[in-house]
Parts: sequence; C-alpha cells; structure tokens
Amino acid sequence: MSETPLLVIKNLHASVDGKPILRGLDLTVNRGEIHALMGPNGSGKSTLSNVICGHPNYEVTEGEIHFMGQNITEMEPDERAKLGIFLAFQYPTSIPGVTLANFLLASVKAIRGADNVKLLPFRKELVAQMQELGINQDFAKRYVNEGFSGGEKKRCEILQMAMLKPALAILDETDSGLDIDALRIVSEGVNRLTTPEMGVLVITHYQRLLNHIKPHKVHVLVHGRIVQSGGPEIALQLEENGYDELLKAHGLEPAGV
Amino acid sequence: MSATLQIPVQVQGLESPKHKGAFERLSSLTFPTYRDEVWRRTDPENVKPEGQAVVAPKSSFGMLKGEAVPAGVTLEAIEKGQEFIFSVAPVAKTNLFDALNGSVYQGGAFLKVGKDVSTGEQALFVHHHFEGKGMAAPRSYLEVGAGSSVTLVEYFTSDDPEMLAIPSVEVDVKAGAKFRYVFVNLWNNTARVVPTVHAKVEKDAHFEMLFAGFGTKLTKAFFESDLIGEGAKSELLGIVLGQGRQHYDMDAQQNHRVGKTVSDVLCHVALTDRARSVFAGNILCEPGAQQIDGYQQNRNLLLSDKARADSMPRLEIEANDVRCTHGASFATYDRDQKFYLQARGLTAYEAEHLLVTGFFAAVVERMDHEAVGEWLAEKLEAKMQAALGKTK
Repeated sequence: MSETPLLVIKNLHASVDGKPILRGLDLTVNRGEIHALMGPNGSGKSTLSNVICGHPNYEVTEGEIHFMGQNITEMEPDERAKLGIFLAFQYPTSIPGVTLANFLLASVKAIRGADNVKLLPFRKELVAQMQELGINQDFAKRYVNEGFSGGEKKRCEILQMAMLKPALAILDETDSGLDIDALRIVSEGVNRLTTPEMGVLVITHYQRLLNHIKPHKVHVLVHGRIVQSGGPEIALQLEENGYDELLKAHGLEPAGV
Repeated sequence: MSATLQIPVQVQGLESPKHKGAFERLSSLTFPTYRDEVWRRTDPENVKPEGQAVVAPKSSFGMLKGEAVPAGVTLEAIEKGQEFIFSVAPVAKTNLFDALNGSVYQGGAFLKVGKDVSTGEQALFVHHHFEGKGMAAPRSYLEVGAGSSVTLVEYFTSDDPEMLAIPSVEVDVKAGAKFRYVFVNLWNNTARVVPTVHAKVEKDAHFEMLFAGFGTKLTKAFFESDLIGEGAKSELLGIVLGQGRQHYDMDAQQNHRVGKTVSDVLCHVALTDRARSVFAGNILCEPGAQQIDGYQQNRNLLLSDKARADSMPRLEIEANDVRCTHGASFATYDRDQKFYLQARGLTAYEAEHLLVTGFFAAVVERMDHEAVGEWLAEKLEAKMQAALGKTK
C-alpha cells in the first residue's frame, strides 16, 4: 500500500573542488509533506540543493538520489527539471538580454512540451500569477534578475515555481534578504502553490520562515550529515539554543557569530 | 614584395571626374602590409585584389515590410547619385580600399531624404546580391535631410565562394536628423570583405549604426564618424557571431571635430570553433573640442577554447573637458547562468542558445526599433543554428 516516495536520498557523499561537503546524508520526502532542513553556515545545506538539481560544480562521490522511483544521480539538470524538480535559488543569477517573459516561455515550453504551450493562455497565466505575487507587470519585459532587488528576485523565483508547477520544490534560503512584508508575500505564494501531490524541502538558517511555511518534519544538518530529525519543535529548540551545542556535540567549533 | 598595388582590377568606366579623382588617389597609395598598425592582426595579402573583374549586384530597394516608400524619400541605384560621391570625406583622405572602390564601383544605393521626413516604425531596406565570380565593389551614398528620422537596413549576399568585396558607404546626417542604419554582412561564408563606412554628423543630428557580422571568411571593416556640429551624436553598435575559422577585424574611429558631441560604441562578439576577432576603437577629440562624451565597450563571449578575441580601445584626446570611458571584457559561458537555465528545463544547447541570443539582444535593443529587431533576430537565428548546432 505504501506509495513510492517522491525523493529518496541514500548515503549521499558530495564534494566541490575535491573538498567533501556532504558525508553520508539520508533523506526521504513523500508527496504531501513539507520538510525543513536547518543547519549552521557551512553545514552543506546549499550543496544539497545544488546536488539534487545536478549542478556541474558538485561531484557525487558516493550514494544515490532517487526521484519518483528513478535513479537521477547522473542526470543532467534539465532532465531533473523535466521530471518535476524545482529549485528556488538562494542567489538567482541575472541573464542579460533575456526578458523574464521570454525566459519563462522557454522554460514552460521545456517543462510542459512546446506543443502544449499556446502563447495567449501562457500570457494570461503569467499576468495572473504576477498579480498574485504582487509583481509589477513591467518586470516581464525586464532582463531576468538584472537590477532586481533581493526581494524581487525571490518573488520571481516563486513566480517560476507557480508557472512550472513542480512535484518537488526546494526553497534554498528563500527567506534570506527578505523584509517582513516580502517574507509574508513569498510564504503565502509557496503555501498557495503547495498541493497535496507535492513535496517541499525548505532550506533555511533561521526558524522565522517556518512561522509562515509550516513543516511536517524538521531535519538538522551538521557537517554534511543529518544529525537530528523530528517535528516542528526542533526548529523552536534551535531558535532558543542556537547551533553551538549541536556543533560541540559533534566535535566541531561553534561558528562564533 | 612590391608595396605598390599594380593596376589591381580591370578598371571599368572611369568616365566621371569622381572616378578619375579616386583613381588618382589610388595610384598615390601603396598597398598596406602587416607592419602597418591597422593591419597588424589581419594580413592584407589575404584581401589583395588580383585583377578580378568587378561584378555588379542585383539590387532591390523598398520597405522592410512591403509598404510604399514614403514621400520625400529617394531610394534607388547609386548611378543616379554619382555627383554626391566623396562629399562626406574628401577623396584625398580615403583609405586604399575606399579609393579603389571609388575608381571601379558598380552598383550600390543612393538614398536622399528631404527635410522632416519620418519612416516611423517602418524601415527602408536595400539588398545587394552578387552572382558570379569577381570582385564586388558597391558604393552607397546615404543622405538624411534636416529634421528627418529614417531607418535603413542595407544587406549584402553573394554566391561566389572566392569573392573579394570592398563595399563603401558614405553617410551624411543633416542637422537635427536621426538616421538608424543597419549594415548587415550576410556574404557567403567564404567571402573576404573590406567594408568602409564613413559618416558625417551635423549639429544635433544622431547617427545610430548597427553592424551585424554573420557571414564571410574574413572581414576587415573600417567605420568612421565625424561629429561636426554641437549636439551631434554617433552610436556604433556591433554584433558579430563567428564560427569555423571566420576572422573579424573591426576598426571604429569616432572623431569629435567640435565640442558638445557624444560618441558611443558598443560591440558584442561571440566566437565558436577557431573564430577570431579584433576590435580596435579610437575616440579622437580635436584641440578645443570640449565637453565631449565618448564611450567604447567591447564584450567578447568565447564559446570554444580555440576562439580568440583581441580588443584595443584607444583614446586620442587633445582637449581637457572630456569624459571618455572604454572597456573590454572576455568571458566564456557563465556556469551559474547555464545551470540556472538548465534547472528550468532548458537543455545545455537551449541554454547556450538563449544566453547568446540575450548577449546580442542587449545590443540590438539599444536601437529600439521593433521591425529591425525582429528582422535581425530571424537572420541571427539562422546563423546561430549553424554556429551552435554542431555543439548540440
């Protein structure tokens, strides 16, 4: 009776420039679940999101990533995106000369298949989603992320999520650089877009985002491994006590911030 | 090696004083060698005429989208406008290729626009197509009357794989006029081309030229603008996509003859395979020409390890109240940009294609002319499929 989990990560080891970052990470995300992954700076949070999406700078040295029952460890980033994996970037890059509208059209065509996308309905959908997220219509004509403020970039990431309708959304520190209002708008967007068929992995340093996006499960990542998993209460404990105790318990130096 | 150009081609015509003047000028010049500064990176022996016959083009003239040419616009073959030749730059100052062109030219465009005429959102076009073997030497004279606002696309195609082409263009933008001029290299991919475009920009006039380099095996281009009245502005935009062993060498000379003038050069070059490019820009401010703004920017996108780009922006300033900036950049695909696009479902090829499209769009959009932008995008797309398709 058990359904195939959406995402299964087994004993994942990954390194960048030969330096090991992830050291045996296990994680399972089922449909309808929101997972939060927390951890101090340098623990490997962003590495995990990049590795799940296939960034070429990261090398998987051991372990496997399965998505909807399929081993995706060696897949190209676009193949993973087409299967339904979406990453809301921590630092969305700018693409000079490419307007947001053209970028989204190319992207939606790639994900849904060019034959399934008609221009007029696409435009209507785009306008509606921009309105929902409080993004000025003029942004469609602007170059992707060029000259956007931090908050505008993050909203545009959620706009992309809205247009691409992924099965798994990974939000990589989507709260960083956001003021309270922007945080609310972005969180509302995520909550509105999250369906019972979807899985969500929220990566964050702070607990505050989890006041808006309620996770079912919280994991703590330290030194490339998940050292603690449980319910939302874990996030509150961390907020209270910080990461220092956890770091010490694993024989690591506190961050000293 | 003899430096003098022996009667290079079968000289036809020579019937008019203009032809004769050009021929006298030509006879006084010696053929350049690679020791000449402007020929350091392109061996002139590769573009030396060898007695080829001059071939006349089949030319068509009209509007880009088929409407009627507006009243006040004369657009026809150059033969009707011979009296205007060498009025922008005196024949005594022409380079060898321009003088050679003036001696032997066959075909070209004559544009004369009266006062206060506008082509609005439409654009004029001229297409010269060269069939058969020989040397192409079209000459165009383009004059836009005071207060007019005109857009013209002039493009060149050819069949002969061995063709040597030396097109010359003279541009005269009268006071307060705006002239958008799109000069498109769509020659056969094995042609060798030495174009010269010389513009004179009067008081409060704005000359905006876009050079699109898509074809040819070798291009050595000379672009020069003289800003002769206060408030004059010269913009030179360039987009070049090189593949195979294509070689593009561009010389952009902006002459501020008087004060309160602006020049702005923006050239984006993308190279695949073993393609090569050279950008040499120079901003000249004459003594006493104060309150000058001069900008030069050359960006190069190197899409293969074997491609090579050189950039030499220069300033020659003999005045003191001058604001000039110049810069060059060289980059390969940005890995993060490519990953970002791939993470949104685009294949590696689609991502690269979109990045290169954007790289050029940033220049084309400066022209702010939708019809021209669409037309260029179509030509560029065909070229991109040829250039990037192989790496798919």
